[in-house]
Amino acid sequence: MALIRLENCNLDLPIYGLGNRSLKQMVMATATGGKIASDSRKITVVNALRNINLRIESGDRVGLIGHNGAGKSSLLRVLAGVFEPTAGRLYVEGSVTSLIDVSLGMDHEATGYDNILLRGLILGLTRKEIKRITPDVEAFSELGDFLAMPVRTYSSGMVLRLAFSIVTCVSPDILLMDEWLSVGDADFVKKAENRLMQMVSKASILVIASHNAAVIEKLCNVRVKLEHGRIVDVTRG
Amino acid sequence: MESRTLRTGAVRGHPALADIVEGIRKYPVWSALAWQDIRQRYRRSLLGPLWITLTMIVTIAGMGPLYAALLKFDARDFIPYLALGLIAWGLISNLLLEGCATFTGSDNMIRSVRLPMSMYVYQMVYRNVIIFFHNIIAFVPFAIYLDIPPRWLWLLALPGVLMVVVAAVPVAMILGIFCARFRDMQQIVASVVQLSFFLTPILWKPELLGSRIFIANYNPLYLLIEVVRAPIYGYVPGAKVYLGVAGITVVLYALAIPLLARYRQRIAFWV
Repeated sequence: MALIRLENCNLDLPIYGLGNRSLKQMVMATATGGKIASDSRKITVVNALRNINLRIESGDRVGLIGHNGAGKSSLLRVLAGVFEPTAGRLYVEGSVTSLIDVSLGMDHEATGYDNILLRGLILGLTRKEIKRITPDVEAFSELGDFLAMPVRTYSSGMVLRLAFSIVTCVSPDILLMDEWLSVGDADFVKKAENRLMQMVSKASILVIASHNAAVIEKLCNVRVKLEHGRIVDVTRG
Repeated sequence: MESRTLRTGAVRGHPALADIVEGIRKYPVWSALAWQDIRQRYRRSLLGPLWITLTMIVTIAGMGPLYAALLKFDARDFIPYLALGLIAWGLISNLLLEGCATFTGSDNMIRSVRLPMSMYVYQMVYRNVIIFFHNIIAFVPFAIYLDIPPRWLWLLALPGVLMVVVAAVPVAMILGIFCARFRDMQQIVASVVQLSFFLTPILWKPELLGSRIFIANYNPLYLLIEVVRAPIYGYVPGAKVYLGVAGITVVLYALAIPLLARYRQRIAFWV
């Protein structure tokens, strides 16, 4: 059973300029009574999320919609556990995989196989499981002998293929996505879409942020509209 | 306002201790990442990580005879002392310097996946332990040249290295957090480390201080070097040294645990 419950969650993101990142300036500000470097004590805070109440249950396919900066990605990062809410309660039941940064942790000097191992470990797989999925990654990425070569020799499309093939090997209870993926050439896009649909259908919960209305329409049964960090509308069905 | 997060599979209890334990459980991840860091550094070089060893050999061969002559020490006694001091210092100074980049160096990962913060600390410490074991090989040619036979006592250096490692974890947490928040902290640490190299008995022997030997005895870096250097150099470090190291470690954890508990969640905002 997977479940996500957010109760009155707030997220304040501090924005640091040059001044308030400096210890010297902070000390100066104290020593001079805050007159000379008065700006350095004020830290701008963006209220990325305000009073979020949401309950997502097994079977829910949630589409997050809203303008740029409405808080979609922030909410995804809270669910992924990268940011913890600054106030409120968050309850997450089930394993979570986020596809927020697909090519995360790619080491360009290492070979494709090394990268399968590293990325697999970061995703929480054991070495044994990684061995098991390797043939699948080989087949799906169609990279063939390139997998034994350093990733720096790949084209950008190939890097994405490899990253995509690895991350879609896991089957989490909760899947988080920032935008529907766009990978490589036309042939691969078709294949990738099928594979992603499979992954989505295996997950109990999907939360996807997208500007693409067609994607949301096709995938989601719950639409959550965000504006200025608040939920303004939730439509089910 | 209070905030609470519950996740299945997460360790319950004190936030910092839970993070530390969860981090240890992630051993396969941080050990692989640490090795990866090393491989990445020496990827397209012929000698690979043996460059570390070679650099150390050249440094010792250059500085040993020079400082033995300057300080009028017997070179046969001073060169092993200096070699071991430099190797132990290499471990400690790298831990301090790279401790600053513990979190800022892994910003991409911190911002995209939820992993315990202590994991990045273990990755950094482990990486430097691997480098240390490359460095220690640099002692071998000098031992052979100076005809120093291996002794069982040398093995006592291993618990010494372990003590340094255990003390390095809270240091990296503290430095990592401060350097993520204040970006000029790293420069401050670098200057202090550089100065400490001259203030710590590495190039010189503490006996030279005469009645002012307390300068060495109250230097925590000296104590940490001693637990690694002394057994191989040829004597058992005194009980005072071990007690000193234990004391420092307790203090460091007492500082690091509340700091990690308080700022753990904010690191992702800072990096």
